[in-house]
Amino acid sequence: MMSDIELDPVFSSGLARWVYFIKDSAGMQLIRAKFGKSLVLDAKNVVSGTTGGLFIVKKSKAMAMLTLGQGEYKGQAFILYTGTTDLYDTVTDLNTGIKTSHTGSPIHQGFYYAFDSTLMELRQFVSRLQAVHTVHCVGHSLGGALAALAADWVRKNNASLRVKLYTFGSPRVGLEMFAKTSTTRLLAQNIYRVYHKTDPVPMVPTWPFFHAPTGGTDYLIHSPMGAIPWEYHRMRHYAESAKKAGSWSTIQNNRPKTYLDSTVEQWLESEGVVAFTANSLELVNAALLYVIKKVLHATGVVLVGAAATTLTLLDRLAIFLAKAVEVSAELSRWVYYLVRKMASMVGIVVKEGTSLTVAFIRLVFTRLYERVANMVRQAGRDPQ
Amino acid sequence: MSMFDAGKVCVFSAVQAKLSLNGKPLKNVKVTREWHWKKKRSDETVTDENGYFSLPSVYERSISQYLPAEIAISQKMSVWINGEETEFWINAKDDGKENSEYGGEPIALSCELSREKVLIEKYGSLLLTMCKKGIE
Repeated sequence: MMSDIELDPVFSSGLARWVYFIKDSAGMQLIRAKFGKSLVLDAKNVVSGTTGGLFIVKKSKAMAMLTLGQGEYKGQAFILYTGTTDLYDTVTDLNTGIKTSHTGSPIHQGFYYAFDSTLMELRQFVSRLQAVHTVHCVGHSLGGALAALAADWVRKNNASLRVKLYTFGSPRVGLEMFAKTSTTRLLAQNIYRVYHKTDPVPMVPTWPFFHAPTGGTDYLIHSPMGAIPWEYHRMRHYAESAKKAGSWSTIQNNRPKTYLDSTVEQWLESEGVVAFTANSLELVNAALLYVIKKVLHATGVVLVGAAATTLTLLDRLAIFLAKAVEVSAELSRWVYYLVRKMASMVGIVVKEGTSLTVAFIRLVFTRLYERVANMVRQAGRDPQ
Repeated sequence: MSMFDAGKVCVFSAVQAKLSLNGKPLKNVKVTREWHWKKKRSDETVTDENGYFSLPSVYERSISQYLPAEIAISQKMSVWINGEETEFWINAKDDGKENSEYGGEPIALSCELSREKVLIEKYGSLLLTMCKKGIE
């Protein structure tokens, strides 16, 4: 299909990998040597700022390279993002807040501000596009989250452009509404979400955060457990996996089936200690959504209102579930099972009759969230 | 693996090299080595009578070592002749291990500075240099 221009896994992962090196002139020389035929990178030593079609954006929480394709990639534009250490500090903060994105959906406020800091340049870049039919947005890790926001924004403001999004080990960007509207806007087939099975970052932020595309396919790579856990978040492993795969079709997966309600119910009802593993986190996530859905159905209470308050997501979730306990014995039972499972994962024993107060539920959530955040922080430890 | 060693990153592996220009050893010239992880840093030495120099491995820690931030270290080696800088080796290191520059082997190079730099990707990084592997 001539009309559908997609980057292959090797090229897109190469962009996501080497964009980290826009940091200085030595890095720019390497990027120019590697991509000079494919991208407009100017002969001069641009390290920051704008020349011609090239934007090098360096902010405290995000870096980006915005440029045009040439040669084989003529008519295409490239929006490449990386997150910085400052941004990692923000997203592992327990007090996650929600902010309405520039396109009108609730997203993680850490991503909102990081993306916002690059918006002026992005706006300029996009407004100058001429004879461009396809825009590729690419990023690894937090850069993937920012690329997702960029793709959503570009598409919303430029309906005539085809926008493609390629992310590697990206965390979840926003709540279900963002994932849904973004999928509708970009179309699932234009989203290439690549993740290693043993990469913990795509599992966060937990709970009502969702990945786009909400349906269709994604690109799961079965990775081993590294010498240290979470080794497979590193971009160079994604680049190796992409090389091994060669084409999208070899790593394309039908979205793993969500758990059946009956499976979730059975798991919730079962007693016994829950180990802290990727699989049990997936299950607890499914269980949480199941219970939230049940409560929503019964009460019609809105979990995350659009109005910003000083309450964090964890607060709201705790209040929401504690309220549900008061509504009916049936809801109370499911909330109890859920809290018991989550508590078990962090070594807290919940006995029959334990009072499910907001404070207690919040404590369990916070502990579990801390464990997940710690797990993610460990991904930064180097395998020496 | 101790908690402390976990965050230690090799920002430049030990280098041994022989420099020449138009076939003649570059003797008693200043060589600088720069790396940029969190901050730009450098060290330097001078070549001997036969154009040889060596520099040790450099390790760094970062206060952000416990975050999943990608390790991205740009590396550069230059020689200074009559006050003028000639870059002869530039590399993108995104692996914290020692000797990752050449896929696990130590950096041992012969560099003829009249040659053109070429991009080498077979060691898993982006490496721009005119140096050849191995010391003559």
